[in-house]
Amino acid sequence: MGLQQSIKAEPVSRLPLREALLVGPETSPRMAVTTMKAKQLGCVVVVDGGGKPLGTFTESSLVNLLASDPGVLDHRTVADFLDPKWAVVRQTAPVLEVLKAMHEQDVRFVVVTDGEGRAVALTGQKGMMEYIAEHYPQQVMVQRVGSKPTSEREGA
Amino acid sequence: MTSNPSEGGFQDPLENYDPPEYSDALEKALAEEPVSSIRSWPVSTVGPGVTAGEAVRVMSEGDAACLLVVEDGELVGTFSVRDVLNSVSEDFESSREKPLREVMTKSPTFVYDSDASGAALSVMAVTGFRHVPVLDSDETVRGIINPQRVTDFLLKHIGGV
Repeated sequence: MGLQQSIKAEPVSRLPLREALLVGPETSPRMAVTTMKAKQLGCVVVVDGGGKPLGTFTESSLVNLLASDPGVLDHRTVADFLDPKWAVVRQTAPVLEVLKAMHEQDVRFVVVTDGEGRAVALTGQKGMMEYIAEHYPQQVMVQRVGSKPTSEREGA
Repeated sequence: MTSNPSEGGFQDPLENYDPPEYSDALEKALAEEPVSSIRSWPVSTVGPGVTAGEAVRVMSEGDAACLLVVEDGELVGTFSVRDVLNSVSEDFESSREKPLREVMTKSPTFVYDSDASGAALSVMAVTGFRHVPVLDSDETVRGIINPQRVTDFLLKHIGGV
């Protein structure tokens, strides 16, 4: 199966998925930032009591918060600073749905949910790149690149 | 025109060349379309002496996730939302006055605008960087590859979307 067909046919669960960092809506931005930094992940998923996603607090949310009033890191909640752009796909949906979600919502992270709508994982642009590299190593992974590769990290 | 090499004539070195075969249009595009076709231009650039606080303001106002740090026309670093998270967020009141040269990602991995698009995806997959600077053969900044451009590229070549 070619790459194109794989993207259309294989489910989201075949993507390299990251653990979703789940927090409640009353979590402080500082706590969210500490969690994101510790896990080297670009967002936390804000969920309700049943584990269903309410939105995401992302690095972009953080930048906007710091630019406006860094003092609120400790005095407000992540629910006040949710990224207005966020996306969800079910883990049984085709990989193509992740691409569509990133395109239509202009986001880098996509929340993956189970059949009950609960957030179970996170994927996005890096997951897609790793998926393509895995399916297409003869062309992607042998390309020369400039500078020296750094230690593995998610995001930049 | 051909002639017999045994008679001292010309033999086309590509005579027995088999062009690469691709399963689909996307695989062909990854291998054959240059980075220049997916780069974003213009880009937001700043100098290394700009403070982190000023850079954060520029990023917020410009909805930019990554600034290229350029000095004397040379790319010396990048300052992205990940650098904000890692280097300045938790102690922003004091770190906002730091110059970018202290908090940026130095010597970032880049691609040349003549590289195949797959090179940009390679950098993203291997290093985890979501933003990849694009240089020309003179090492001049010619753009940046960002997640949005990559997504658009992939969807375009998957077709029917």
